[in-house]
Amino acid sequence: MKARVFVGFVLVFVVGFAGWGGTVTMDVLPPGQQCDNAIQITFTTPVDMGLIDADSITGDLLDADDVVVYLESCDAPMAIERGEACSADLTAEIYIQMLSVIGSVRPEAFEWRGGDQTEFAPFPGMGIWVPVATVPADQDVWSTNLKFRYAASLADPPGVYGVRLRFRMEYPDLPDDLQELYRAEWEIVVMWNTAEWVVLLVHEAVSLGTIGPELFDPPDRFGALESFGHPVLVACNRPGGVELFVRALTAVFPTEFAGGLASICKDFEIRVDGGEFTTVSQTSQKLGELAGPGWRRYSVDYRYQVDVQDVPGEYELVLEYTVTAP
Amino acid sequence: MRYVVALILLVSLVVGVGFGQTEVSKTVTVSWGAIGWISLQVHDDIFLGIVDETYFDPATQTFTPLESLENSIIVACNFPGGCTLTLEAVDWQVPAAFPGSVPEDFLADFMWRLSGGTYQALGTEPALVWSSDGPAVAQLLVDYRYELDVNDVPGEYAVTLLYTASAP
Repeated sequence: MKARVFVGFVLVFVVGFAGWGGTVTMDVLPPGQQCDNAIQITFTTPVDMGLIDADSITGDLLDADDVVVYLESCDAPMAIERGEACSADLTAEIYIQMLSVIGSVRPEAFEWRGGDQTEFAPFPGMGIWVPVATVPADQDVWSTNLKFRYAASLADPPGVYGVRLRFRMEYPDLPDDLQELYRAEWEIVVMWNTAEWVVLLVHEAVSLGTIGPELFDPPDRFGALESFGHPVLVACNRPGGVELFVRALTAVFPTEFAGGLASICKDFEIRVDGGEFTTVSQTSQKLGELAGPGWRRYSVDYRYQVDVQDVPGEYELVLEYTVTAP
Repeated sequence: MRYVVALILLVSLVVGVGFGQTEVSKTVTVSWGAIGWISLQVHDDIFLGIVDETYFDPATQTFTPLESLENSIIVACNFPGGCTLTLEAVDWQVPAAFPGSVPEDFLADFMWRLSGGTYQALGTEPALVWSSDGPAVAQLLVDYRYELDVNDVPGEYAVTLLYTASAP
């Protein structure tokens, strides 16, 4: 009974400490009459995984099969140190469970690893104990580096996110009534923030190729330079959604090229997701929209309709993509 | 104590949430190049026919010429300075018994013109057929005529024409 009260006090102490973060050490009484040395359990709480914002969302996502941003914690050390007098006492088993979530956390997207769990794995459910490690009776010190990650969705709403995790250490060789008596539990909080974001990722520069006589189709037709399937990703986590626009910003062309940017725009076409080609212009034209939080990857095709006025030289058209929130 | 501290924690987290942008723009460059090019498409070989007595009019003592009209030539180029198209005879074939000097007398009877224009004799020096002062596509129609006379002895006649499109 004495030990149980002592552990209960420690739990309150831990939560109180969480507001400031850092390493927490708590003492729990070991089982057995002959051992007065406390068992020291050291852990980190809260574990701050940081902030997900627009900068977290990189160009790697442009071609990814599924658009997920992994937010990963640093190592969160956890150690259990048993005094010498208690070293040969009992085998201890350590468990973890997901206790509750803070904010819009999707529990299945939260994963952990540490102890005997070497690969990231989600929790099987809320409040279900999962083994972390077994500490043999003759092992004085046990430690691990816990690590957590969250597969953030691009639609995760802004706000504070957190997961409360509860740990348990118990001695399976004790009789049932003593097991409960000497069981120790403690909690940590893993938390992160999600900023409000509007994300626009655009593919790298595109080269359409070179105009040559093979594009002339007598008597008076010309082929086109084409390049298909360039990704443009739009994401937002705000209600109301966003709209995607494109416009021709500037152009580079040979000095002998007649008509300048306007002439290039007249022959330069763009289409999205296999739709109809439309010419670009110097005023923004809408390419698509997101009705609400989420993401969408557009596949953009470019086509330049060649004609005889395309004099020798190098051409560039700078397109500006813009995502705006209404 | 437990709830008070938890509240402090939440407040500290909320402060960390940023306010995102409502407009984001990014640019991308699409580039291409063009080489200087000329395209020339010339009609197929032409057979003007076989001359017999029907080509001769005894009343006027004149010959009906051999003709082939509106033969298509397409020339196109993208050079800012334009391009030119020239024509010359580079090879010929006449019967051994042809009485005139070859090729001068033979070529003097072989005429060409842009359809609707004026015939001119074919020569062994390039003659200007068409030119442009900038990028252009031209679909030309060319007429050929061989003026018959009594010196056109029996046999096979042929002339090889060379069209050349060039940019200055």
